[in-house]
Amino acid sequence: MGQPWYGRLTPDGYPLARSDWSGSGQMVVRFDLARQIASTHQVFYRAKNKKTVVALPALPRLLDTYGESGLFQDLSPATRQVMSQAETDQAANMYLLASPEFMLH
Amino acid sequence: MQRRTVLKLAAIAPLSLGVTRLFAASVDAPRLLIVFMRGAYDCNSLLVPVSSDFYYEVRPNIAIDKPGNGANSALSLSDGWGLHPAMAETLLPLYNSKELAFVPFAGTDDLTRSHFDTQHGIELGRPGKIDNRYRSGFLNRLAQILTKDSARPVSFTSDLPQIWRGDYRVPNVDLGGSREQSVMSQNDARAIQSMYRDTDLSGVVAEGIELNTMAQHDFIEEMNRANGQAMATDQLEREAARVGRFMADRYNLGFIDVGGWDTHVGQGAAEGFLANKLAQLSRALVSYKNALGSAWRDTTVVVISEFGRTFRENGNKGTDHGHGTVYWVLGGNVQGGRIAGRQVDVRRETLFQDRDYPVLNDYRALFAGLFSRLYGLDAKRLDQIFPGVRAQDLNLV
Repeated sequence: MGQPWYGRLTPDGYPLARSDWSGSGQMVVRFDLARQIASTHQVFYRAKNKKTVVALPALPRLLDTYGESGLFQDLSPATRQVMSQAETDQAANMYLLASPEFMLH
Repeated sequence: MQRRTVLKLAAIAPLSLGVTRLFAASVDAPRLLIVFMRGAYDCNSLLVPVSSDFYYEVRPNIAIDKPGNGANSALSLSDGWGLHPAMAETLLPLYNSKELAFVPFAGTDDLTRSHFDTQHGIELGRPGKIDNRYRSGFLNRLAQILTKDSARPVSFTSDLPQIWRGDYRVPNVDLGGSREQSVMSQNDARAIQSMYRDTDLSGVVAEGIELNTMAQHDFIEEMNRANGQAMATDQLEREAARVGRFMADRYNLGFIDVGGWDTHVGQGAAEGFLANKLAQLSRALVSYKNALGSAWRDTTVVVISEFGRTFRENGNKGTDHGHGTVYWVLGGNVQGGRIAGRQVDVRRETLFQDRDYPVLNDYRALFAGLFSRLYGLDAKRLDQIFPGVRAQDLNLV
């Protein structure tokens, strides 16, 4: 997301203000990452330097699975509505990860 | 292309009110693009002081030959200046058609010779030492002042550099293609925008999604157009054309940075590393011009760098951190074909600290003069952008 490990070119370090990380282009990168996590979570279970795809069950709807734990209790009505209208589990998970409550946590 | 893009985007537009202002970009407003060469380029290899014997004396390996000594010699400009031969097809025609001016001895009063400090200081645009209480960049302050009069600022960078930070929310879009992104489906775009509708990020999110959609469609069209034709092999050149298409019909205040100018070792002369970099940037500027089409008429591009480099070459056939540099000002509305600003003879005695170009044209004064011409800003408003500035009007536009 633009913060490579020890990758800051200048000695001031990565900026800390919220506005430095919520530019329009930066938000779109976040949404794209949310999509990748929701749709291709297999890559996170891959051994280093191995290209073989790990067979995994599809991700369940995160909200249904973890909703009871109180993890997502602060979702706004707008977010809940979007989640309930999602046609696939992948889309629902992507919206959850892309939601303002998740991003602004 | 324009209508098609607009139609395509119009399908998403009703989803958010924040988007609508994008469609109202005023085509008549002057367009300004600032290009920052990060790393301090060696200006003495671009704008060569060909009448200075001292130059040839202290650069035995990396000097550019005087004009008239074959294909590798400098191209004669005026007043004892020459242009790097690799610019023969790009910058020289622009100079000859009076669309390009150089401002030598330009820069800041920062003496740290630190890339970071000086870049940071320039982007803040404040006088004196860097004061951490001030956070906003000067382009952000300019955008704030112009916004009533239809400023459409945009940053062509992957994040928001200091020059754009501040109260005015400036969109950013990375057109370099460094990160591959998929086009967001209309369903996803609609869903995400509705989640953000009641937050303060709603405008930013709508703008981001729209910009991304535009950029992706532009990439696709670019590929289609290139079918059967030669496409520029150079990444920067392609990026510049994309920037041009964005600036042609919806943005009028842009910023982009280009790195890799810190040539301490083996910079080359008429050919070599620096020559290739300069030629690449110049081709990119020409491709920006071509992409703008008739909009080039009211376009200004200012190319800056944090400082110059040492006048003498070092032991590694390179140059080290210096002081004064040369800015480029080009565009359809530029009064060019000349070397502008205060100048001195280039001799050993006139060097700053016996090593660098002096700074005779302060960047704040220079930009203030330019802004006052382009936007008709009075002294009070210029002072809000550059506190305590005394504008220097070089009749550049």
